Amino acid sequence: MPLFEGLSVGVEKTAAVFDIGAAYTKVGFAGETSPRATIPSKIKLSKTDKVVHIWDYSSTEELYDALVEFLHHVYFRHLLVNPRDRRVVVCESILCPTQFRQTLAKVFFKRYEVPSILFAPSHLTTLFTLGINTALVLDAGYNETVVLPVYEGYPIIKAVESLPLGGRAIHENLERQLKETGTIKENGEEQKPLLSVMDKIPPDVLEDITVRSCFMTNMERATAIQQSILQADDSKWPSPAASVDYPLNGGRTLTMDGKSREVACEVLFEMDNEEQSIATLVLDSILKCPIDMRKPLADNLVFIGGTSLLPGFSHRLLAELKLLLTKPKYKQCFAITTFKVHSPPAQANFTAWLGGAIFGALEVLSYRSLSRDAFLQTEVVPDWCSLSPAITEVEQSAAKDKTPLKSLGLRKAAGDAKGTPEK
Amino acid sequence: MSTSTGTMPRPSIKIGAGAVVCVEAELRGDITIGPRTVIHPRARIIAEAGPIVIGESNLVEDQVVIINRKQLGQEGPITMTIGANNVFEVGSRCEAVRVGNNNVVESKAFIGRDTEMSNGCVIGAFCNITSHERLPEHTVIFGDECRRRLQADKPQAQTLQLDFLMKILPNYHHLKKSTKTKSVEKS
Amino acid sequence: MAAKLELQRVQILCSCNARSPITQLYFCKHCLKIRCGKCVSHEVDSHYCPNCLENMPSAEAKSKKNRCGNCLDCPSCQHTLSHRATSVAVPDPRDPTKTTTKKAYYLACGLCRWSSRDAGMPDKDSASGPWLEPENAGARRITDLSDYYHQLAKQEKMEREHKKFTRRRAYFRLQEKYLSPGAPGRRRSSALLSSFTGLALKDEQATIIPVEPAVASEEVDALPNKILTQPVVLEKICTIRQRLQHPDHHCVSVEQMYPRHKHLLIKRSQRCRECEHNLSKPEFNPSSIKFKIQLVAIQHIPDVRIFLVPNLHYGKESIVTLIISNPNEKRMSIRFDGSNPKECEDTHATAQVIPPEDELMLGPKDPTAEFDDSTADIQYDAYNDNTEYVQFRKAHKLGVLFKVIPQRATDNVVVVFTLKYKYKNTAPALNSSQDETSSPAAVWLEHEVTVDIGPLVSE
Repeated sequence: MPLFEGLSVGVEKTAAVFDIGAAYTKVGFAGETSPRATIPSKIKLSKTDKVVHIWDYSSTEELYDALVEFLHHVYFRHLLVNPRDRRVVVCESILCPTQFRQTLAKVFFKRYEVPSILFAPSHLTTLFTLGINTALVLDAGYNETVVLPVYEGYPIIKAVESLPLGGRAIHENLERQLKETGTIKENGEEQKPLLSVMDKIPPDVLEDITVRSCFMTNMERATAIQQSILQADDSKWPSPAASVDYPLNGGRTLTMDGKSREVACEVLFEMDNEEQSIATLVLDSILKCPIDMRKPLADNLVFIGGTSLLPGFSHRLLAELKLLLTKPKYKQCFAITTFKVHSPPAQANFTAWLGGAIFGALEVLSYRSLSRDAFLQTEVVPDWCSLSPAITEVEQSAAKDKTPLKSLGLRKAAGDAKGTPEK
Repeated sequence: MSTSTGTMPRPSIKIGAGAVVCVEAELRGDITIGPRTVIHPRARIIAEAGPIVIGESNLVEDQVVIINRKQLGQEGPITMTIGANNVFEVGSRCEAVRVGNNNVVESKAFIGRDTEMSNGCVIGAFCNITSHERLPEHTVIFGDECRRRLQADKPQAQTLQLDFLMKILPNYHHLKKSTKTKSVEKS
Repeated sequence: MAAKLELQRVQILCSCNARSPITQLYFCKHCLKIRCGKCVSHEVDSHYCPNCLENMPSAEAKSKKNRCGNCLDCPSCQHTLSHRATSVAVPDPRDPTKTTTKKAYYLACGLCRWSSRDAGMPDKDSASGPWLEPENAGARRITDLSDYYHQLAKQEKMEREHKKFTRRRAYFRLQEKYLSPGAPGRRRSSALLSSFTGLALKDEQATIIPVEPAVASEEVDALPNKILTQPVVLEKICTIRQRLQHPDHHCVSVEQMYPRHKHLLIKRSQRCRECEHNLSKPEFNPSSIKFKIQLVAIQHIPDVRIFLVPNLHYGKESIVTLIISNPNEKRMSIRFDGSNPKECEDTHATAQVIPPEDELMLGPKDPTAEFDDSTADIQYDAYNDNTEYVQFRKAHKLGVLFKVIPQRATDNVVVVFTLKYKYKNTAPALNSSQDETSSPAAVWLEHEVTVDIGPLVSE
């Protein structure tokens, strides 16, 4: 990308782009085609020597400490740049807790002294990878699946829909399945039930099993499987996929039958008590939009997030959508009969990051970012859900008479604030 | 190391032509060593539960233990067979009853009795394999989590190293004679 | 006895109010304050490859995306790959009936035995030279998109300079606030997305070359049937870690994995945030463990160690010997203050401490003395040590007696006192032009020391 490097380098260094996901964090630089590193969102704390997940925090202080060490690791192990030199783009879910973004901003501004941050909603940045401005974006992540329509560049916030269905739900379901049907073979000949040997399966093993052997089955088989489960009739089960012998370590082999491989991911489409699945999220979201938007949205679906990389995911989701359209609940409301899906020029797990990287390379980044000085004035990150007026840059007039003395004063204030870390 | 071999049946050790077996190596029980196999001085080969048959051009380095171990409730002898062109690196321990050809057992690795090595497998350094299975051909097991992969080809045979050892070992060690097996073969 | 390995027992309060052992602290000679790893700013100093230990200038590191030009990582286990040479038989170019041998180079991993031949990569004729990494399939498209948005961004920038104020439409308020949170009334934001939707209406921007918008399709790839019918060979499917190594091309099967160049590491330098002076700066050479600048606290402030602890009883006074040692090659006066100076209730002292009241003098540190026994009995009498406080003196070390009265029956006995010392700045004062006080005249400095003396003796 020599072209836009040339454009941006003259002015300032390219921004660092972060997408701190529930399972994996994508980090890299604006204007590049893929993240420099995709690392688990966890960090070993130097104080306690324990590995903590960034999103598993019980207090702001805990989160602050974890983020400080995590970003240190990211900057000095993966990006290898000085944090002070570069603007920051953070791709985040619009449902990101205020506590998290507030603390994140504090760490970036106070600890790492970055010049500015842009909090970019990941659903919106996705559109930059497509060159369109209307789409219904479904982000299937680790903790949850969030659907947000964007119409002519405007996110329709009232139509946001989400469910706690994602990678974690699949892993939990898989663990349940394996506890029921999985068998372990140790040095003896005989197969023992899993629970007799271990009462828990480590999370990374679950993840690895999901990634390497699970899949999203097609509609016909899924219907047959549901029938079979409902009627408790095993004969209706379609001929299952091959079973897998998964070596746990040198001594144990976990045998997983083909049924578990197939059923593990079904949790995404099983209707819960409120008749919701990730397919209904899409339809409900469209329904909440004005009627003239619905057709364009249905014609522009985008699926992002690591969970959507499951083999067969898109195909199944489309089939589910079509099936739902025939159901009485949606039949009257919808005139739509078709859905179309985009395929962004990046893998689904870092599409949002890529959008952030494209945007972060633009000259207008500074206009839209929250500057350090502005943050230090109020210590509040403006948010779409807060109605109070917010400052993103220091008042123009103030900026004008920003004599060295004044800016020195600001720095000083920052220094004082640093002197007493939030312990 | 016990020296009381009094209770053992009279050891019958057959050594193939061109094999280099150092006298210091501990060989117990009924052991057959194929031609051109090199056994280092401090290796231990113990046939407890039945005979051990080692094939051609194997390399058994120092501190290696190859043991045909008696199991609880075992009836009758079980023969442990090791194919050709295998390498047992320093400090490895092999209890597997069936080992195919062209395998490499790296340093300090351990293979349990229930595991069967097929051909062209590599057990990485310090890997502990006890699972009850037949390792698919060309499996490589490596790392502290015993991760696995399949390689395209079998590991290269250590012919040069064997030739070198056959030349150098007799200069510094007394060897067990291999004539006996020749006479057995002739008869 | 607190040796250097028992770091946590004697801790010093840093100027950011965090406690750390002396070995983890810096001492800024310019603002005369103690700094810890948390209150200094870390910077990237130099890049190097952890495998070949080759220093790489930062400009080159940037253009190579922080990767070493020579070393490669195994795509299977991320171990470093090594180059292997073999000779292969090739038909002789002059006489096709004969064969000659030719050197061929390939990559192999010593841990998992992956080789570039496994991945179907052709062998190379020479030992040096690059191994090609596959291109990102979407790169072309991403460049097009970026170019397009750049045009829009430029235009917005121009517009912004032309008119600072435009009429705000109420309908877009939420979105504006959302995309880029701007205060109402202040024309700070207009969403980029909205700005380019507005573009279509405007005419004069004929210069903008539109990008082909992505086309959605009704058909997506169905689940491949072979997943249902064929047995899984786990070893042939990439793990998530292997996949994440290659964000540019989606590899699912191990045959698609390519080696990546080794990621560089950096040496860091530390800088005081207040005066912007370097506190620690390593040498460029990656294999050197020396520093160009290293203002570590242990070379500047007196070190406190536990020497002798008698049996401690709850409520009873005991005498504890601590060693205070002078890091400087000049004499140093010290004083103590045992009353809790800041009246801070967060102190975790569990005992009252009565330190010596007098000013004590530490002898100069003589690095050669430790190797020379003859200087061991120099005239210590000159110091006029009060035996009430001073147990012994040896070179730059002083055994000082502290009276300790444990006041909590359970926990370890922890005392807190303030150590004051006369510090003579030997470094040439750089900022002397600003104020005269920074002349090398000695100044009294102080910091709080927390000592965990040990457990009580159970009654």
